[in-house]
Amino acid sequence: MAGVFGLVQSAVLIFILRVGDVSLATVRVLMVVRGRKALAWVLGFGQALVFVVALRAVLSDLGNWLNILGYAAGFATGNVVGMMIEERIALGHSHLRIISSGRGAEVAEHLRGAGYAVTEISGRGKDGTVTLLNCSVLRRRVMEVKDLVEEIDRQAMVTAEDIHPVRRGFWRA
Amino acid sequence: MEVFLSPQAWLSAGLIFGLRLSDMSLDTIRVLFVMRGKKAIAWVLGFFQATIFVVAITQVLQDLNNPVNIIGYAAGFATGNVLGMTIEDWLAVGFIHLRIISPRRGAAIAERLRDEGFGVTEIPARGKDGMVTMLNCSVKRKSVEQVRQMVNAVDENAFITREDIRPVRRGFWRV
Repeated sequence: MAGVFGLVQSAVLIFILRVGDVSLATVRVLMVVRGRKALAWVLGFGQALVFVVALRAVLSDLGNWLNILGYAAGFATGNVVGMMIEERIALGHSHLRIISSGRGAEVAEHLRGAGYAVTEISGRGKDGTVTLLNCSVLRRRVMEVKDLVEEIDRQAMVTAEDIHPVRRGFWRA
Repeated sequence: MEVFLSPQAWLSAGLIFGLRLSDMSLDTIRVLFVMRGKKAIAWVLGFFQATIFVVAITQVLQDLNNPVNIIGYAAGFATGNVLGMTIEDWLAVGFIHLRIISPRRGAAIAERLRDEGFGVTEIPARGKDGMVTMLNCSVKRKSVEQVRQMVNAVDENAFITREDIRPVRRGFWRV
């Protein structure tokens, strides 16, 4: 029985190592896309170190299929964990495009009251004039802005996209 | 401790560092090309990256008891990643959409950009303190810094954001 326990133990260890290295890798790729070089270096170093240790553990006993299973499950789990970590940190900036049919000016006033900068543009939709609001915010503020918009207009259409500031203007912290 | 002193150990660690440095810089450039939909370049980069990777990993696995190898592997990975980002910045392939908001000098900025040959679309809009101009300008990534300087020369306080775009129909792009 001690032998079986040892096999499970090594598979679990490999699983944990892989969750660690793949979540670091996922966060690293997201930093690469946003151009954060220093963070990318640190994450890359940690990731590669853990990876070699995990790979060594798997290759030392390829006969134990639990090891291989742990390796694959760790990879898949680490990927999802990395995405969750990145959402939690939410580095970067977003551009919000808000379309409201009747209440655009009120939504703009409400957002400005909360300290956000808003640019209003009038546009035309199926049922007449609509207001297109443009609002650039820190990514971790996106949900808060969405809630503010819904307090005024529940029908407003809100989309978000990733942006980079070229010249830093006004960003509500 | 003798591992740390033998010149052979350092040589193999240095080799591993060099291999990982080159494969990771290729890999980083590849991922950034994949995001921009450049299939042919992505294939070529992927091929070379995978080849070098297999050679490097074989080197490391041959002597896992040498911690210098493992450190060389990790440091090569991390440095190659950053080097790849730097190269990609320098290549600056792709297109960028710039959104410029100026309270008063919008028309002047648009004129200035058009004089230099950039295509600009002006939209009147309203901000906190009245009317503003929102300028839309899609340029090659290489031109972004030039446009920023021109905009700031006309209006120090213009608000500029950029985003990566892919042209759907190739229209007017100043080279």
